[in-house]
Amino acid sequence: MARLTPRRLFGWLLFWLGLGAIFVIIAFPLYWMAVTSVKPYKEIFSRIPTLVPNTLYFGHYAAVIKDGLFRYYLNSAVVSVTATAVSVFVGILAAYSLSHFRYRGRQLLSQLILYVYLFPGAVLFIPLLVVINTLGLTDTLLSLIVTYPVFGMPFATWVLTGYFATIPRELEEAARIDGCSRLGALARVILPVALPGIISATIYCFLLSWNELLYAFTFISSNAKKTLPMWLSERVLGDVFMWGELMAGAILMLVPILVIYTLGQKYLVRGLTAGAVKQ
Amino acid sequence: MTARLNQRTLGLMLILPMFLYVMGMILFPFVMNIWLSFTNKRVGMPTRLIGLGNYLFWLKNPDFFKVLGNTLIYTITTIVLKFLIGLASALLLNRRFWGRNFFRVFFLIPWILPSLVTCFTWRWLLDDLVGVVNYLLTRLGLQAVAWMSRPGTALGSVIAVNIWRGFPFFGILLLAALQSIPDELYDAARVDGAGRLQCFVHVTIPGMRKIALIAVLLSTIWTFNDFEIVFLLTRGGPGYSSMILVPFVYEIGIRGMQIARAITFPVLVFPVLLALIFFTSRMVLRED
Repeated sequence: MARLTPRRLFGWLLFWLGLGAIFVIIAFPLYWMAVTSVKPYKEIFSRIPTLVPNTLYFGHYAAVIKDGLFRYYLNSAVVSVTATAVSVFVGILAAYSLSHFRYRGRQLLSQLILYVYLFPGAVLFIPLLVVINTLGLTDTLLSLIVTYPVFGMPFATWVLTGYFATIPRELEEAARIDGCSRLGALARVILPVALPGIISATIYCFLLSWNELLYAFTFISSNAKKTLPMWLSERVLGDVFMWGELMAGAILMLVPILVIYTLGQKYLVRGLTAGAVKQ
Repeated sequence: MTARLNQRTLGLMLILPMFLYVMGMILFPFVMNIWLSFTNKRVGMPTRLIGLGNYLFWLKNPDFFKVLGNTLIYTITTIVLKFLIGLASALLLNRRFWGRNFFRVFFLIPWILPSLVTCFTWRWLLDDLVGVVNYLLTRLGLQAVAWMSRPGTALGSVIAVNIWRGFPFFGILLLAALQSIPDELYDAARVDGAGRLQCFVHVTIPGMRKIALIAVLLSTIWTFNDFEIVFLLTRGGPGYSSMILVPFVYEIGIRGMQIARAITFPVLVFPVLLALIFFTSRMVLRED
């Protein structure tokens, strides 16, 4: 142990104060959301808020579930899983092509993908609405499945191209000498090595689709086709805020995100950094 | 699939789905957006070209400048503060301490939270009457504030929520940048007699420059085009005091059904956006 000087003590205090501040700033809103979801309304709306609930009450969860939460949960799950699968699958094919094949225009295509990854999909929602209407997909879940890859697919391709490029061509060639076709080499050699990149692209695409609101608001109008965040957000647009139910809904919406994030956070962080930095 | 298939053809076939998707769902709508801005398209009406009518409409409209100004304030303020708080967090997280691994996982949670969850939670925290923030303010002997419903604080509130959501992204990227600086550089600087501050100025800052710039550019593009926080918290109100680009386009185009008018607004800011994208891509592609 180093000697404890006033200067060192000051630095130590400053460090833990800073860390403590960040912890409270992040944790308190999360805690408050969780704790509100299990308080009865009398306690939620009391003038003096309670840090720890006096009575545990799970009625808000029952209420949102009774209102049909799971139907919207299912809508969101169908849309997110399909859009993610499409994004990652198409991204894998494109990344394999960009990293392990030689043809004219390859550099140009690779730059195009970087541009569209950086291009914010949010500004395209109105022209996309025209496209969706023309395709006859108005007010269907398919309209979201078709459009959500706008956000995820370019990212997946970009990150995966970076990962695939680190896999030496010799490894792939060795597999082909052993009798693999090129697609066989992709499946047996490239994909296993690039698994961290695939996990990170999958998580990212899923997060984006699960959280998306603007396209859902623009393309979906009938009640039965609403996604979970859309349905939840419309419970707030009235004058009365049913905070208990809103917080219970928020927690339920959060569960898959937290599970996926906890399982794959290592890869997500690496992918984010790789997405921003050419390796 | 036979091995004899021309390799070049196979390469092109593999990229084809991606290429078609990007063409059909991103580039085509982008071009259509620009084309529609010269028409009078509205819901359920025949469309005809009207030249620069929509552009003149916005350039003569004070709402345009109000929303543009808000968008710039929203973007610049949040980027500066997210960067500074993110940098401070990265410097803290770069130290060794008990529970560091847990803290790093926990740290990114605000950024992965669905915006809806974030907005619900903050709207509840900042509730006029029973919000816990106002409760603490009154306990401290201060005035309670109607955060979301007063013109003076609405924009500030959405900015604060955006910072809360976004600073971990900066923190994580800047932490990665810090860790990419080899220890030998610090050792060498110390041998040359550099103090802590000099090390920071001459080793840390240059070492982080590239990733920091990319983080700033990426986040600028995202923030400039943010929809959810403003839409869910204030709907741009009261009046247009907290309105920014994308929710405004949504209000005019989808709810107001003035499609052509609405999408002229983004076209007016495309040059800035494209310049940002251009610089970001240059940074990402530049080899060290």
